[in-house]
Amino acid sequence: MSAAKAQSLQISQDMAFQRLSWRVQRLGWIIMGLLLVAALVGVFGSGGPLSHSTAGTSGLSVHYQRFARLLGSAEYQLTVPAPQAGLLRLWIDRETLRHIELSTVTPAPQSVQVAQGKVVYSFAAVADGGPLLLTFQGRFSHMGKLRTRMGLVEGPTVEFAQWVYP
Amino acid sequence: MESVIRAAAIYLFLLLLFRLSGKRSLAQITTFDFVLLLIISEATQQGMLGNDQSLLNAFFVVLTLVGLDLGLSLLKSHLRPLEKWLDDAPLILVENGRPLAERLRKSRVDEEDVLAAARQTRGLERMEQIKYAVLEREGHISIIPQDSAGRHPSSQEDVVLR
Repeated sequence: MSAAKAQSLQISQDMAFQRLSWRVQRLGWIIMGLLLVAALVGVFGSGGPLSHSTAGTSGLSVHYQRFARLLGSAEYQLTVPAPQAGLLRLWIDRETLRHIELSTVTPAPQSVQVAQGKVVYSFAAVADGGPLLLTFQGRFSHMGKLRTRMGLVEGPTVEFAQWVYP
Repeated sequence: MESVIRAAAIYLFLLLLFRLSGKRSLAQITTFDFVLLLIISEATQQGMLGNDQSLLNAFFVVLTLVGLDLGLSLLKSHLRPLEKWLDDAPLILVENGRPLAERLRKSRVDEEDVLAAARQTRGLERMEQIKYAVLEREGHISIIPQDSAGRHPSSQEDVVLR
């Protein structure tokens, strides 16, 4: 109570620091809460409404991860109208493939060809008019902002950005 | 390089998290706190070691953790303000039998916790037998009894019970 009595206890109490530290703590709790909410809505990848997006047009649309994690799974779901010639030829930019270790292409391509600055995947397709679904899976081997480019040979090109967390 | 960065990141993250959650967070290890500690160690393990299962990786992770701990303790002994921020400072919660309400509330301690500490460490029965109750830096409550403790009149229930 009185200053004289308080001094009988040898203690390094610092009320100014204590008040500041409580304030910092409260602020920290708010930030922790906001981080959790952001994680739940998908800002940090690994699911959530904001973690995925779709790019492209009716000629070629790609469902991709807007936010992902290093060494985490990478997946691209492509929707393409069935080609009239019966052969679907799709390319992925070489630079894109340097940042992703592709492991599975579903369905398996008939052939894979290397061209200048890109890799071309060819699929045999039945021309029954319905759209075709292709899936490319792998994992991210680089972090940071990736510019991903892919497209149909003599067709539309899709380009989008992906953010890969460490 | 990666193992050092990973271990340092986990170390600093945990330091910040436990500092922000307050000194009382894991001070009294209940059964659940113990389980929580195990889960936290399990969750951080993967992020700290990455895909590298080598002996050298484990060496450098441990070296980084111990080195950071040592470095911070050396830094703290030279920089008093840093010590305060990293280790917190002690806080008087009860002064001459009078609980300091704002401090109790802000540090998430209630009068029951103080009374429990008084019973367990000093065998005290009532709040007014406590001269000082101090919330120490690591989160436990130390009790200094009144000089007259033990010979206390029993007519002050109104002070103790709220």
